[in-house]
Amino acid sequence: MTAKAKSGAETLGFQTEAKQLLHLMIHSLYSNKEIFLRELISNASDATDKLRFEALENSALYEDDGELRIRIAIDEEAKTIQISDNGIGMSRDEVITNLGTIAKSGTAEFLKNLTGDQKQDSQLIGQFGVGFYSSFIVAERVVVETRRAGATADQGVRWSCEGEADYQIEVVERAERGTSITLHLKSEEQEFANDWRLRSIVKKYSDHIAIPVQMLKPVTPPMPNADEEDADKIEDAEIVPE
Amino acid sequence: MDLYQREAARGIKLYIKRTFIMDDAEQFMPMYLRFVKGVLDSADLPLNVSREILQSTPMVDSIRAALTKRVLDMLGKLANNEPEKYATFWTQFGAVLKEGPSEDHSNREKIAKLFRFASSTSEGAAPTVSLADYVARMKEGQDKIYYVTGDSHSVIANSPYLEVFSKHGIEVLLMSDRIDEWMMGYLTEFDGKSFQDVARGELDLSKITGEDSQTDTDDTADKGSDDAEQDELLSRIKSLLDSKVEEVRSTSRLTSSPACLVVGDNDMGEQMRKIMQAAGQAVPETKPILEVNMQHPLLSKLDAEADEDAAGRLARILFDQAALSAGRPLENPAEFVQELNRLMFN
Repeated sequence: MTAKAKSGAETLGFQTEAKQLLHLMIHSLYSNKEIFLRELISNASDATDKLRFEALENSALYEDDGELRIRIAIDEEAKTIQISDNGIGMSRDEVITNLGTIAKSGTAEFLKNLTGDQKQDSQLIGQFGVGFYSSFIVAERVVVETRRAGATADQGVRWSCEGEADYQIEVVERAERGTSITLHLKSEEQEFANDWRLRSIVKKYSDHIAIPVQMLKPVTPPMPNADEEDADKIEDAEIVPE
Repeated sequence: MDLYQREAARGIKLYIKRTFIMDDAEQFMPMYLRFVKGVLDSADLPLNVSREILQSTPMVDSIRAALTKRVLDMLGKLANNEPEKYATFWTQFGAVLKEGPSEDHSNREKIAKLFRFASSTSEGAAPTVSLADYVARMKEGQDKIYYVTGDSHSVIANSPYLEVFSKHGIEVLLMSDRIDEWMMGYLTEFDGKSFQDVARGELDLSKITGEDSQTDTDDTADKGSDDAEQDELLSRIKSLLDSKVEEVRSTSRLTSSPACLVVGDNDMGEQMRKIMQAAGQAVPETKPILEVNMQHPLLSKLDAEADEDAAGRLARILFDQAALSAGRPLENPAEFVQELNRLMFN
């Protein structure tokens, strides 16, 4: 007996098991744990690059802070690592689209809107839309605070997630432009809350990105005369192109 | 970095859009250029999602070809413009570069241009002669590049194989790197000239010297009887040495030494044999050819010796001497010493 189609063929979209997909991204994609820092720095670098582009048309976006940089701060006591940039930042909607959609690359989207010459010029790194989730390899909880360049201080957004099926999002007050990502390290990954360890990872993977990466001096233990604002630049991490 | 460990890290670090992907990206540089250190940054190579490996693509091959060409061109320029600097480079990495001809056929000529060797006409053991230099100095009628390989410069610089060449002022390249003989198996010609190992096969210099090298004495009338006598002596030596040699023949290579050993055209050379043995490989049994200098008094003495035992001893000493001067190990050194001592007391 041969099967006969009773009606016309249907076209159906694929379903995604989002939770499972996120699990795959976190546990089955990378062979090295330390690459989370490479991914976050690459994202931060892209964010500053995007600001550079948009500010070509609207220099007010710089908000009197034109010195683009990435900062890494470690809190050994609280076992957190914070990676901050003063790049383009995100609005609430952008946070939902970019962080709330797996395999959605904001950079790929951004590149689509550029002309060929601009694409050549750009140093944008991202392409897959999955790098951010590598933070959950080492972190049990990730908190993202961001404000889009040009928006007012009360339009900051806080996004937090524990690497499971859902995330929280709220509007907060945020004075500085750009994005800060705070990783609350898993108890077995606390080796990363170490200045020297992070420096060597940055040096290994991100020694040649376009903007400087600065390490803040560790908050604890308090050093005599330690000045928190005194950013200690990593040598060689500031190779400026062009 | 240990250049001779296959697993050791290679030079090129791969970055894509300024972000580090991997160390020792071996696909981008051939083995024989493994001393090159560098950073490769590209925006065009397709990455695996994890950014830890590359998806395979024909682009990798074209980048590799371009990089190889660039490195070889750069070395060529260095060799032309700053020979002293190049000499330093060559002493450090020359032996690695010599792996090139076997690995990279398409760039063989280019790699060969970078080679430097010691030569029988230049002073000292320093490798300073390029193949192009050699070809430019070639004698009229010379169509081959002559070379000799061996364990050390002093062994080959004084080797009996060079006697006839120095008599006629023909330059011979002296190759004393371990890899040389193996390399020459892959380097068959340069600038249209083929290579000839002077310790291998028949040697015919008549085109260069303009004389018939086999028989340059006596007039034709005597030749017949001479040849017959000569043949008799040669076959006598052959029977005395029996199992040790493939053939005994009169030589055109020697002027002052009594005898030398020659390897057949298709047999494995001495250096190669040693390397294979050291690597634990089985080596085919081949017998060398003994070439004797008919003008040498030792040969006349052997011819005149009626006692078969004494003649046998002389023949064995002749053979062992030839082996020693070619840098070969003796099969039975103690016996050689005893026989030599006996000869001295006679």
